[in-house]
Formats: sequence, C-alpha cells, structure tokens
Amino acid sequence: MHNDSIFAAGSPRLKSSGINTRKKMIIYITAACVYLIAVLIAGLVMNPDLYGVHYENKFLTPSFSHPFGTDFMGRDMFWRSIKGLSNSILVGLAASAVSSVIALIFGVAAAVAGGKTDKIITWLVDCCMGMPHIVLLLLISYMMGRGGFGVAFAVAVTHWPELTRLVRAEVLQVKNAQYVQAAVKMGKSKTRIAKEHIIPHVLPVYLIGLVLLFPHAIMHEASLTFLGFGFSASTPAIGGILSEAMKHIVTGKWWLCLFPGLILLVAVMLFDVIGDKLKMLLNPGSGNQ
Amino acid sequence: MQLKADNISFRYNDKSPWVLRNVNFTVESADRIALVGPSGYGKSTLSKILSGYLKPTEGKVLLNGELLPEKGYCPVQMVYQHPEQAVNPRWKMDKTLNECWKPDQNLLDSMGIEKEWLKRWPSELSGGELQRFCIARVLGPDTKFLICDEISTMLDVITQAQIWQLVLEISEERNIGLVVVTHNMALAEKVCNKIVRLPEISVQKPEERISV
Repeated sequence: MHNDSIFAAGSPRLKSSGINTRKKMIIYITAACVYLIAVLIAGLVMNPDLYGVHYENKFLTPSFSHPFGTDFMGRDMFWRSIKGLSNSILVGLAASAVSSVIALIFGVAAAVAGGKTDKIITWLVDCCMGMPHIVLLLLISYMMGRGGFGVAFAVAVTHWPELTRLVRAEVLQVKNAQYVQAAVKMGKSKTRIAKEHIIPHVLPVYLIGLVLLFPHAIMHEASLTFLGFGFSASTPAIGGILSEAMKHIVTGKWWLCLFPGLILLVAVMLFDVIGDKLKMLLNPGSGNQ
Repeated sequence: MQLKADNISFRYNDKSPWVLRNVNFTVESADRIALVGPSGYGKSTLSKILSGYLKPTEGKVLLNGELLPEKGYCPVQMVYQHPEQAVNPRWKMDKTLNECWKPDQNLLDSMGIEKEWLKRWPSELSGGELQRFCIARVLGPDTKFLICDEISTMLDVITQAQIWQLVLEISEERNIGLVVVTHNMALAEKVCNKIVRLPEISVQKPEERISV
C-alpha cells in the first residue's frame, strides 16, 4: 500500500443530508426564471385597457385596486410597469440573441484563424469598448429612427465586444491546452476534438455571458428611453415611466418612480443571480458541492 | 523499430536564439535513453519535437526512415511533466483513461489506480494520482516509443519506484522504446541503458553520445 490511498480513505465526505448547494441553486434559478417569464408573458397577452386612460382616477396612491398607484392620466401603474418591463425583456432577448451570435462568430474566428483576422477583430473590440457605450447607443438608435425598433437595434448590435473577448480567450486557451494537443496526437479527428473537448469548455462560458448580457441590455434600453431616444411616450416602458415620474416627484408622488424602479432593479438582479449560479453549477471546480 | 533524430535544430522564430542545434541520436525499440542536461538546455523542446508536437526548424524526426505521421494515432507518445494540465478538467477520470484504448484491470491494479478514482473529477485527485492516468492512457498497443518528460518528479519515492518498475516491464514486454527526460542522475542510471547529454548551445558542437 502507498501513502496516497491512506489519505484518500480518510478524506472527509460531503454530507448528503438536507438540501445541498446544487439543489438550492437550481431552486433559485427556477424561481428567477419563472418570475421573468411570467412578466414577459403577462406583458405580451395583456389587455391594453388595463393600463388605459381614466382621468377620474388621477394620482391615486397605492391601494388594493391599484397596487402601484396611478399617474397623471389615471393609468394603472402596476399593469403599465409590467407591460414596460415585458417590453424591456423583449429588447433584452433580441439584444442577447443578436449580440451573442456576433460574439460567437467573431470570437471563434479570431481564435481559430489568428493572424490578421485576430488583429482586426481585437481592434474592433477595443474600438467599441473604448467608446462610451451610451453614446454609441444614442447614435445608432437615432440613426435607426428611434422608437422600439431603433432602441432594439442599437442595444442588439452594441453588446458583443465583451462576449467576443471572452469567447476568443476561451477558445485560444482550450485550443492550446495540453490535453487537446495530446488528443490530436492520439489520432482524434478535428470534429471529435471540437465536440468532446472544445465545445464543452466554451459553451458554459458562452451561456453565462449570454445570461449576463441580459441585465445590461435591459438597463441600456431603460436609459435610452429615459433620455427620450427609445420607445415613444405612448408605449409603456420603464425608462419612459421613470422620466415622467421625474416631473411629479417634487410634488410628492413617490409611488410613480419607486415601484417601477424596484421591479426593474429586481429583474436585473435576478438575471445576475441566474448568471452567477449557472457559473457555479457549470464549473467543474464547484459543480460537485 | 527505430526513432531517429536527424540533425535537429530548433528556434522559435528567425530572430530568436537557437534552442537546439544539430542534435543527432537514434533510439531503438530495445533502448532506454536518458536525456539529461541542466534546465534551459532544450530537453522538453526536444521531447516535443520527437513526439511531433513541434516541428523542428531544421532536420527531421524519422520513424523507421519515414517522417512521423501527421494524422491518426502517433506511435511516439509523450507523457507531460504536469499531469493536471494534461487531462481535461471537465471529464471524469474514466473517460480520460479510455480516450485511446481500454487498459485492463491488471494494468490499473499494478499502476495503483483505484476503481473509485474513475468516478472523480481531475480536481479531486493529486498530481501523482493523475500522472498514473496519463501514463496508463498512452501505454496502448499502438505506442512504439514513449517520451517521458520528467514524469515522476511530483511522485513520492515509493510511487516513483512502482511506476518506473511498471513502465520498464511494459516497455520490455511490448518492445516500446523509452526516452526519459530527467534531472535525476540516479534515476537515469537506474532506469536507462544509454545517456544522451544535451550540449550547451553556444558551443554548438555535435551531440555527444555516452553509453553507460
């Protein structure tokens, strides 16, 4: 017998009783997803009359019939906020879908092709990251004719640089890893190496990047709308609601900005939670806890 | 079988200094060659060239008179110095072990690989334990030459002895030629029947070959 096995036998075992970290995380993730999907769907199927104009109900404080109160046109703030958040999530979805595909293509191309391609893509990434993000968003949104499409387009095409960098670094790292080189010498084909070594390594990073892109996109949509370059005033949007609320906050209408701001914050934080927990679950170092 | 380093020189680019200059030696299947030399003399670089990981700047590596195959299982396999970098951290150990062939239970027992380790992640094993997997996975029937780049440095003395005993047994049984890179002269004299010293590069004289 040699020393190692003696140590192995004496190593502490993880307790199996109760809820382990993994299960707890899955519960967190599910809860966060359910909340966000519920908001999204509620916004999509909502009857617009719910947040219609009722001048007789102007500036009602929060109550059971109007949990978030009403605004200067008597619109119910609860339903309006839900609809606005749902719009934001839609923009976030579009942004993540487009940006992540751009990032994936650029990142993989830079890492695999190397040389000039790599230099050009890295330069583009640096260019986009060097510019204040909000300025770029404003310009693109304005160019694309503002409104829902403008803001969605602007947010969608400006969120790829960070993820591109991440994907590039990961692919480069795993491509040159000893175990991948060893697999080449063991006669494994390129597709097999890509499938068994590279994709399983890059995919989690990519997925987490994708999820963490969401809160960014949502916040940027809200900022654009807040500044008046996003959704038009007739479309419920958290940014628009907040900028309207600015006019009334000095007269003590606190509920107009508190609740919409809160649900935006909660949504953003939930996406962050999902991203962080996913990171822990997918990382082999902490995956067994 | 014969593995021949034919006048090998290597440097990283046109401006960098030579790492290896005009290295010549031959390994026969029955040979167990020790490659010794101080740090920075290009031992690891030479191992990588011999096993096809790096292309020599000049000269060639010949296996039975032909260049090393680019595709398929390379008959010259190398075991790395750092086992924790040589296994995929996202694979459980049994997948890593069976990547190119299925070692039988006898081999696993004699390597001291315990059954329970197969279900673990690499992060849950020590360097020495991982190194056994790295050695076992390249001892397949298609391996004709084995390049061992400081493979036992991280093992305790007893395990070192066990592993070398086994590597020697298997290499004899299957007629595998060994190239052993080491700093440990005692080990080199014990394990190998020939010693090749890498010369200092500024001298640039042809490879000395000393038989023990």
